[in-house]
Amino acid sequence: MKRQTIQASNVLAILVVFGFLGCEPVENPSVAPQSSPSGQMVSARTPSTSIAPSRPQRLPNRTPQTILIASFNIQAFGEEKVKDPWVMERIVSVIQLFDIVAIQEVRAKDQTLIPRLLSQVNARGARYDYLIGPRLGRSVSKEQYAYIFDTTKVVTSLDASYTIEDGADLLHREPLVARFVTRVPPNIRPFTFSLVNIHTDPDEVKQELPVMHSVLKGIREFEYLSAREDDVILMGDLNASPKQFGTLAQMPGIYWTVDDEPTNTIRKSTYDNIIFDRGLTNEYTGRSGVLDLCDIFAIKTEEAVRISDHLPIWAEFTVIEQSTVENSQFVGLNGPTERR
Amino acid sequence: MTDTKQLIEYAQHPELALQNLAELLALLESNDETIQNYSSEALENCGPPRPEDIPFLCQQLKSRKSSSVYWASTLLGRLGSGTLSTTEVTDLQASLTTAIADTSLELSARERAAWAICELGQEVSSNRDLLEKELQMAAPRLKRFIESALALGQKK
Repeated sequence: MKRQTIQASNVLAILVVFGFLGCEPVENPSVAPQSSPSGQMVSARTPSTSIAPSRPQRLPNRTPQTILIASFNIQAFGEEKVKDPWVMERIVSVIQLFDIVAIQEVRAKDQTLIPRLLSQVNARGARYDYLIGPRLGRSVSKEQYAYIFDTTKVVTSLDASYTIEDGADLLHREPLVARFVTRVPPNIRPFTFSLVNIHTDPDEVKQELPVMHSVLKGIREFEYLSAREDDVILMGDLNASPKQFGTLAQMPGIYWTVDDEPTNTIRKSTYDNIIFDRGLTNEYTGRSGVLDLCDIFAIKTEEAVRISDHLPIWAEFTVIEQSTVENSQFVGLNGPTERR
Repeated sequence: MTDTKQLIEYAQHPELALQNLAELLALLESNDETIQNYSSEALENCGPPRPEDIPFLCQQLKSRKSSSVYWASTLLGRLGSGTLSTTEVTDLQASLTTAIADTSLELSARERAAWAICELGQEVSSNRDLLEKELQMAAPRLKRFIESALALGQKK
């Protein structure tokens, strides 16, 4: 199986993106400070002896007509978790529920962690592969973004993946962008889309969120100019609820899948989201949600936090590219807008 | 000696992390990556420090270790505005400014010290000259934070 690791030499410098970033204000004093989660909410459910997850009502089945995309901050995913079979079996089970999982918080110098996770995901014949970005962050503990995806449902390539270059140094961990194409029969137009994997620094949400609309706008423009791609989906741990989105929430057509439902495991705060232009990305079926680890594994919260302090979030899309109305926001970027 | 399981407990329970800040800061220097990661995770999740830990954190700002300065600044910055007295913030600003000017520290630690001054939200009244001097030489990100710090109290 081909290993897809983004080396520093392969990271594309997208100056057009950062031309936009550099022009934006850095401060937004109106953003409320983050509160820290505290306390424990313990589920009354009886723990199950089986690790096979019971599919929650709201999570649709995987079908040939749709793809399920998830984002999962696997809190400090490192050697300690990889060597814990109880945790790993459940992380593997979560990944197998989806066609693509955008992962945050891979924390290890050892670059075999994701391959070891993948080998467990594929142990029973599944055909997932992965993409992983460079180690990022300002503190001693660096993190990597990764994508794990089912190659029977989607394809990507190293050439279509990059870590954005934050020339103005506005972000703690620069997003990892990856373009995907669904696998469909030859006479059907596949859904093509770009995912943007992000994890903000909880202490610098006030600095990072106000530039997030510029990050998304810059990536969207770059993706459109370079690949005629207009389906750009920002997903990850923003450490903020939509109430704190500010200018990001004011972008025309912007849509987020998690409004006020908590996404941390103790069910206190909304940190994670999946964000896109619903007018352009009308492949979205309207189905999305937060996957409750306590529900799917019938475990208590105090056990679920062993897996992660975040819950996976997900959204469903069709595998077929849908036609969209001409979108004025791309007119003028490169002549008349022409949909792929 | 703290083991990994204990650190995971700290990462999952902010109150435990706050009771063991000195230990966590020391463990950031560990050669064991797992210890480092969970120490960082615990500090990321623990929220603002307890009042009784503030003197210890101020002392840490004088450390030669960038990770200690980085996290002491982060924790002190989380206190935000209005928690400390004007005098206490003024004293803190002096220590944070000294850290900003210490070029032997990693840039990220100096940036976080400047960020903390901004978070504390009080007009900079001590070491202002030193901050203005640093402004001339600072890297872009540090410069932005220093500019914001120097602008405190002048925005209304």
